Amino acid sequence: MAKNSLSARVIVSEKPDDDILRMVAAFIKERGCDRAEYTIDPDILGGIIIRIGDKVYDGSVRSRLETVRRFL
Amino acid sequence: MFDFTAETMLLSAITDMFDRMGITWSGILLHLINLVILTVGLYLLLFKPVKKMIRERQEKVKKIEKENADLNEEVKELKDSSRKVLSEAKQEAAVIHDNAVKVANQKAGEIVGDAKTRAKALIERTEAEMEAERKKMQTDVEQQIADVSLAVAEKVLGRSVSGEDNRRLIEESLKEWSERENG
Amino acid sequence: MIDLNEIGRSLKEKIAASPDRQAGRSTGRIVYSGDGIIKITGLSDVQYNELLDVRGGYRALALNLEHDSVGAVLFSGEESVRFGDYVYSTGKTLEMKVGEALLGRVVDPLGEPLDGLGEIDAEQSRPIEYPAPAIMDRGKVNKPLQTGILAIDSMIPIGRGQRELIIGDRQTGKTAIAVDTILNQKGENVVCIYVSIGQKASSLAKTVNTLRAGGAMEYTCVVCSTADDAVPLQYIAPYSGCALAEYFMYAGKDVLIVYDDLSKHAVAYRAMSLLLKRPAGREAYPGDVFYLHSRLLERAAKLSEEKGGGSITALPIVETLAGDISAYIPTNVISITDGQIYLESELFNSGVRPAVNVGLSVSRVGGSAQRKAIRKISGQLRINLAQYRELAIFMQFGSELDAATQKTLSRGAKLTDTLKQRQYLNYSVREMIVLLIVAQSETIDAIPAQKVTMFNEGFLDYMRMNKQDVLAEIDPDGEVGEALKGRILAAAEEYLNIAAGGGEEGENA
Repeated sequence: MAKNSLSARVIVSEKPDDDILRMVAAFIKERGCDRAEYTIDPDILGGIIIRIGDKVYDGSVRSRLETVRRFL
Repeated sequence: MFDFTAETMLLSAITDMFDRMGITWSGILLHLINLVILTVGLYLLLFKPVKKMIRERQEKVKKIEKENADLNEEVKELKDSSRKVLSEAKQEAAVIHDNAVKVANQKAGEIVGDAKTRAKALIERTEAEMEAERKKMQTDVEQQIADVSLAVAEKVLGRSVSGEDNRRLIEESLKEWSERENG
Repeated sequence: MIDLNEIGRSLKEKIAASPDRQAGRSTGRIVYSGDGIIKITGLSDVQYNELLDVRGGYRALALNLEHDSVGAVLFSGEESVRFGDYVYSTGKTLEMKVGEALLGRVVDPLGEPLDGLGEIDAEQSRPIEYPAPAIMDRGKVNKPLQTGILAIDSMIPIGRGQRELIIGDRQTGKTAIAVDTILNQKGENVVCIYVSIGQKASSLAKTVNTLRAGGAMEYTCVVCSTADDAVPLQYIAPYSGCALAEYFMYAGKDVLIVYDDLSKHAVAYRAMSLLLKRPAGREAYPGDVFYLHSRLLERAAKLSEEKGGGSITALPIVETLAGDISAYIPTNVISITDGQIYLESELFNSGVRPAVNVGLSVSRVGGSAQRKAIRKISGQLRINLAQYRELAIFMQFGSELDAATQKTLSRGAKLTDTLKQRQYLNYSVREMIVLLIVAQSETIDAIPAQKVTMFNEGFLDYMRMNKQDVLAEIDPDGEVGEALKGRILAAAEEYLNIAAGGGEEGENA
């Protein structure tokens, strides 16, 4: 499915600690990806966004707020 | 000259007078016969056609009278029948009128009923629209409240989601995604 | 007026109901946007006809799946989407809200209300594209769908589950026939759906008002896309309407669906296809324009008894240009449908309304569904009319005519007059039988040539008022006996006597 050269892009709101790095590494490994590029963007308010190829896993606080807003 | 008996004298006088006037007994007789012939001739030639003519006239008059009577009768009949026709026509006219009134009434009823249902529908629709308007206002208010609260939430969360909270959030997210994709 | 507590409560409910976290979704980015078309890279696992979420809350429909990009059409937000915006797949195809709640409403092709009467709470929805019923699931068309229009019900009968095309130039009364048919379904337990495709908003408003005033909205749903709606909305409108119709059909009901009109639908699809850079064929329509309409009309069917016996009767409308029925779209739809009602502007302008050209109109399956009494009486009608028209053309050469020919001509003219019918004046089956019997009898000779329409209207009123018993005795599914025929003709003569001279009643009626 995913090629080896594929790298995951991870966005977090603050500098990740080792725990997070480890969990994310395991997560992306399951999806055939062994590199992760980290970006720190306080604008997502918290949580994490992982992008692997076409797939996007959006667990940011901002997107949750957006979802709630759209639902209201 | 008048020595003879009276009768003889009278007779002879008459005869004498006749003689003097040139009238003889035979002449008288002949005249009589003449008269008879004349009378018969006249009767045959004149009287009969006249009588016939009169009779014919009478018949004509009778006929005309009869015709008159017939005509009268006819006129009477005509009058009768026209009266009858008139009354029938009146009756028929009444029926037609009745029918027309019936039709008109029904149509009027339909139109009024139609107008009523339309009015009712209009009222219902307006009510529904008002209700919808009210709902819309409510949602607008809701939206405003939601926007404000979300703005507040953003401001607060921007500072408070950090460290342990953030870590837990990420952990939960990763776990859920894994479960969803594997299960 | 506004209940604050309720606002609080509903807000809380909504927050509680909002999804917690989105699952991993396939995304792509917009690399081209123009004329309502977007091209997206990425989106590797998107499906054909899948609904896409564009950032900002807009929606799009994936139509072209290519090697390195996806072509999609936007339903809204044409001006707002930008290069590089993220597009998410939803894993769903387009769905239309369905349910009883839609009756009496005017909705857009996605099921959103347009009539300002509040939200529609429909629990269910159906995909707008759905396979047509299989052969084994279909039953025989055996029940008539009464249009209330004498010319159609007598000579071009439509059965429930049939697809009858209404075709004609603009301004020939196509929509009028469809609307009259919907109005005539009152009390017939038929659900009606009127799909407007790319129509002027003003004429649509007129139609809706007519339906509302006629009390027809109670059993009717109007699915509308107007001329200023986005092209994709016009494109999906008939499929949405059909999805709603299918809901009722599979629930065992009889449905009448009007597509007004499919030529605009084809034009919308052509616009979309050209913008998507699909190859153009005849008249610049894409190659699958036939399939576009056949897959829509195939969904109209009569289900077998085991499947509930419901039906969808489709009345697609196609507009021709200058009476040309051999153009691309008309021939396509004619070959798909089970017959057509051909309207002519020449007839319309000469006062024959509805302007049905009886010679070119046919119904391929409706005959078996026709009520028995009508079938018996109207058997000769078509032939008589054809003879009359032939003679009438001949007569134009102005030759001397013998008495028999003259009689045929005057009879024919009166028969044609009988078939004229005002809009919104629908006849019941019994009334049609009465009119047909009178029109084909000696009695018609006594009516002055110009007064036939007046006579018919007045006579029907007279029958309704005074001869209710005769009307009631007519059995639409049986045969009309000679005795009953005699009574009908006697009533006609009676009315003729009453109305003769003035005809005031006719004028009032």
